Order: sequence, then C-alpha cells, then structure tokens
Amino acid sequence: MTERAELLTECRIFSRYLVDTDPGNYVCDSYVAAVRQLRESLSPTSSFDRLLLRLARLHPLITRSVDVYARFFAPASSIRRRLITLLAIIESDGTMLDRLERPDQAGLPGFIGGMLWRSLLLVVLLSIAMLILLPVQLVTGRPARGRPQA
Amino acid sequence: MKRITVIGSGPSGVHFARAALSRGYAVEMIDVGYAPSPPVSPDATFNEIKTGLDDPAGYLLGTAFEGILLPGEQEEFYGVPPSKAYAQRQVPWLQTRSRNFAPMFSFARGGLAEMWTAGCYPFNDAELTAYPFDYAALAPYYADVAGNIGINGEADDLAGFLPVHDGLQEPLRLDEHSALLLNRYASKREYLQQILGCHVGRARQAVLSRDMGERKACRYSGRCIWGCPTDSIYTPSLTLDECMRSAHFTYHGGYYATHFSCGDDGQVRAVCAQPLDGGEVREFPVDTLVLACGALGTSKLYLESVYRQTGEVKVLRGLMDNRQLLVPFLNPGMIGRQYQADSYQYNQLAIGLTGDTPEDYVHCLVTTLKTAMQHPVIERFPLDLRTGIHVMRNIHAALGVVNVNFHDTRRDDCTLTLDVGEGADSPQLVLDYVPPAGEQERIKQTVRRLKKILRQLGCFVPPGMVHTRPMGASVHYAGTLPMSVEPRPMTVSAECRSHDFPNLYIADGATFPFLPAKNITFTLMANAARVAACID
Repeated sequence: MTERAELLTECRIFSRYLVDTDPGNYVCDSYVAAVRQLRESLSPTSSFDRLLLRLARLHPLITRSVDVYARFFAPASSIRRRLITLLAIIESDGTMLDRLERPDQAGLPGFIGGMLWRSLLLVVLLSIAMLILLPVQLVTGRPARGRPQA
Repeated sequence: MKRITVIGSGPSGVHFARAALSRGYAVEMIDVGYAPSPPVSPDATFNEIKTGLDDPAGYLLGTAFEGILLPGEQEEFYGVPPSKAYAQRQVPWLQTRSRNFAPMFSFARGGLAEMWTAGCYPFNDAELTAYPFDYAALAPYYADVAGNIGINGEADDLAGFLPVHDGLQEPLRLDEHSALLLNRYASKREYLQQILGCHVGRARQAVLSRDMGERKACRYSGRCIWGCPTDSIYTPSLTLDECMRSAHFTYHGGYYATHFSCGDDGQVRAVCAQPLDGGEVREFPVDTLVLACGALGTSKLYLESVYRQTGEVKVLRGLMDNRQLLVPFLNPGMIGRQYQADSYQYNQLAIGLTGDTPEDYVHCLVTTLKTAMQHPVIERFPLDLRTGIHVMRNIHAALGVVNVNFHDTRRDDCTLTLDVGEGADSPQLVLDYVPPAGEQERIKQTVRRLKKILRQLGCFVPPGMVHTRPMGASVHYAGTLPMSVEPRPMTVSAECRSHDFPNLYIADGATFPFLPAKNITFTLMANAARVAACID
C-alpha cells in the first residue's frame, strides 16, 4: 500500500470515529497534505506510539478506545496529534458544519442524561484499554512526547 | 518647514505623525513595514468562508497548517491566526535573550496593534498619579484619537474606572451570551458592587458601530479573529495610509533602524538603518528624532546608540508588563443553544474589580466563545475526542473566558541591557523580569473572587482551567525610559523629550512611569498626539 493510500484509509477511519461519516475529497486531500507537511510533529516517536497508531487505524471503535487511553496516558502521542489535525481540517470545511456545530435538541436535561451514558461508556472503554495497553506501555516505555495529564 | 523623523509605524508612531502633520511639520517615517496579504472574500461571513472558498483550511489553518494547535506544543489556548502571521515576522538583526520574559516584537506596517483586540481604555487620574500630567491634560487627545479611529462604548457602571471622553460611538450589538451575563449582573448589581467590588459594563473597542468616512460599520461577519476584512476594526496601518496621503509625509519602508548617531554637541545627527533587501546601511539625516518603535524596540535602539557612541553598556530599569490570567467559564443557561457566528468576536463586556487603592484596580475582559477554532478547546477536555465533539456542540455557546489584567510598577530589578559579545555585528537585547512581591497571593485572591462573581452571574469555572500567562504575553511593555520632572539620565521630560539628547523625543510606552491594569494602546496613541502638540 502506498503512503497516500495508507493515509486515505487512516483518514476515513478517523473521520468515521470523530463525526460518524466518510470524509469528502477535500478533507482527504487536506489530511494527506497536512500529515506530509507536519511529518516531524505527527510521526510516532517510540514503538508504543507506533503501536497506538497501528491499532487506531484498524476500526473506528478501536480508534475510540486508543484515543481515550491516549488522552490520559499519552496525550501528545502521534495518534492524538493526527486526530486533532483531522478535526481541525473537518472544522474548516463548510460541508461538515452541522456535524460539529448543531446542538442536540434535547435541552439541558437531555444533555446531562446523554453525558451520563457517554461517561459510563468512556469509563468502560478506558478500563478495557488500560488492561491491554498499560502493561505494554510500561514494558515498552512511554512515548517520547508527553505532558502532564489533565 | 521643520522636519521630524519618526521610527516605527505602530500606534504611537502613526498618531504622532498624524498630529505633527496637522501642525505643519514635514514627517519622515523609517519602518520595516511588513504588509499583510489582501483580505480574502471581504464580503463573505465566517461560515461563507468555510463553504465558499476552494481551500478554507488554507485560510483558517494556514497553507502549512501552522494554525493547528497540536497537543503538547502549545501552552496558550490560542495562537496567532495564519492571516496575521505577518505581524510576527522578525528581522535577522534583532536577537533577544531572557529566562523569565517572553518578548514579542512586530515589524508589521502598523506594528503589534495590527493584531490587537481593539480594547480602548483611558487611564484615570488615580492611574496617572505617577505621570507629570493628569487626565484633564490628556482628555483632549483621547477625544481627538477617538474621533479619528472610531471607538464604541457607553457611560455605564465602569465609568468610574474608564473616564468617558468625547467621540464615543454607540456600542455594538451584544451577542446573546454577553447580553445574558449583563442582564444577570443588572439583577445582582448591588450585591456584586458592594460585597465583591465588581462592576460590569460594556467594553470599549476601536470598532465602528456606524460608518466613518470610507470605513463601514461592523457587519458582524464573525471574521474578527482572522482580521476584519472591511477595516471596521481599527488598526494603525489605517492612520499610516492617512498620513501617506499628505504631501509632507515620506515613508521609508523596508528599513530596520539599529541606532542613531550624535554630534559633539550631543544632538542626534542621523539614524542608521539596515535595508531589508541586504544593501548597505543607510544613514538618514535627522533634525528632530522621535522613537516610536515600541518600548522594547525603542529601548534596544537607545541602548545600542549609547553603546556605539560611548562604548558603555547601559542598563535600563523599570520594565513593566501586565500579568494576565485566562479564566475559562461555562454558563449552563446557554447549554444547548446555537452559538452566534454573526456577532463581534472579541470581548463585548468588561469587569472592573476595585482594590485597596485605586492603583490596585483589576481590569477583566469577558469574551464569549463564538467563531474561534474549536479543536484547541476540544483537545483539552478530559475526554476522548468523539465525546469531546459531542460536548462541544452542546456547550459551545455556553463557553467564555475572562482575561484578567493586573497593574505593574517600575522596579529596579526588571531590566533591559545589551550583550555586546565579542565580534558580534549586532548586540543582543537581554531582558530580566522579576514579578512583584506578593504576586502569587494576589493572583489567588483574585481568582477566588472572580469565581464568586461568575457564580453570581450563573457561571462556573471548570477545575484546573485557570491559566497564568507568561510575562511578556500581554505585550503591554512600558517603563524603561520614563517621564521624570527631574532631568535624570535615561529619562524624558513631561513632553517626552530626552534628558540626554536635546532633539530626541520618545513617543511610546517606554516613557510610561506606571502601568495600569488596562490595554495601553489607546493611551499610547493619545500620548503620542500630546507629544506632537508639545514639540517645538
């Protein structure tokens, strides 16, 4: 697989994870251009960093598990940086406005209810990811890039 | 006709030049003058930019994607948008060093205020106590500048801290979130004022709420952050354009002035400047010289001139800058609402906090989140990004940030000097800043107080989100060559005439003997106009 094809696949999976839809050509081309332009900042810097990226490319559900793990244990990892890069491109693209900006119609109670469910899911995913990834991270060493967790 | 040479095209330089031209002087300006690209689709709104441009990411994030704030690389919440990056472009001859101060220089046509947030807050008598003049002496110049640049605002509960001068336009239309906060304040005014010493009112901004000459009133396009495409937000390059229409004004763009040289009588004779195109150093003959390249730029030029003249490396004391805090908040009353893209994007409200003395006044700017990029905010949530996007969609309109400004005083341990090195072509500027005693405690107390105030306004501050900006970040530099009634070395007179060089004037913040907790740009402009009126 060429680098471009690999990045396009990555872009599609990440986009499905972030906003539940396949990206258009503009987003795909911009993502490929951005990863090439920011190669130094977006490339994995350790074997664990590389593992996170490889896993995240497999399926949107796995991307989510890896992302939630990385948020707390590898916040500046390559996978987080690539996801933020794609998010920045998506939010610049007018065709994606609704997916990023339209509030739910459920009001404050609905938002709180939804958040309870999402928080529960987050805890479950984080727990599973920790069981699998934390021992690996401890063995292989932390990603080179990192900063204190929130 | 008497000739005056001005260095720098920032707010001080252009307002000095404008006032001097009106008095019949011939003015030459030496300036680096990096210019912006022409505005993109000036009639489009923010959302039309996203849908209408072939490459919206190129505009919003930059062609090299430099506008993306990656995790771990950015301490501040936001960076400079790509369309304003020209204002941060540097020159090779300016090298700086500091372990505790992050200076920012601009060589843009119009200076650092090309990327300002347009706040115009006049100093009051209490804040001018250390100055050799009072508010009444400055008021005509505030009014003159206001009439020239267009400032909106109103006489409200902040009038006790922000004198009401002539020339104010009516305030801009409030966005929904700011209006809600102002209504809540109105319903709790007595408690907030008497118990918490808190006064809330409309911000004062150099933004047109009605047409002025060729400039049109704000259209609420939502593009403020990327640079107003219709010049409704004032920037000094507009006054530079105005000056350039005068037959008595000469603009020498593309030159970085390194130092001035003097005759045996101590009079400044010439300014030496490096051409950006790499040619030979050019000498500009001088009758009267006005330094207006910002407090740090002016100080560097002054120090280098003295060094080249005498071989002495001087130390300038009293460097000041406003310490700033960013206090993000969430207003549950706005959750689930659509944010307003069609509104003015910078702060629309201000909060004044009284202190033990009038000088201790703390000035806060309240910005509700609208069209600013979302990814730097979502990245900071303690969530996976998918959940973060969901949260952001629903709380976007409910988010805001309070920018808290503290005053600063001149202290001997805050210094500027040169490292001349051995064989170095250009000396390095060395900055040292020591925060005032008790700063940490003052910050803690203010944050506690602000949290109480925000609770009264129906908001809360998410834990762990208060950010203390590094020194240098406010870019309100001042105090290194202060006004002094006594003719001491390295000071200037009340008219900002150097006590060391008789035909040298300093028209920027270097002359300020005290730095109130306010954006100083408006006072820089008014004081520069005052200096031009004093010059003989």
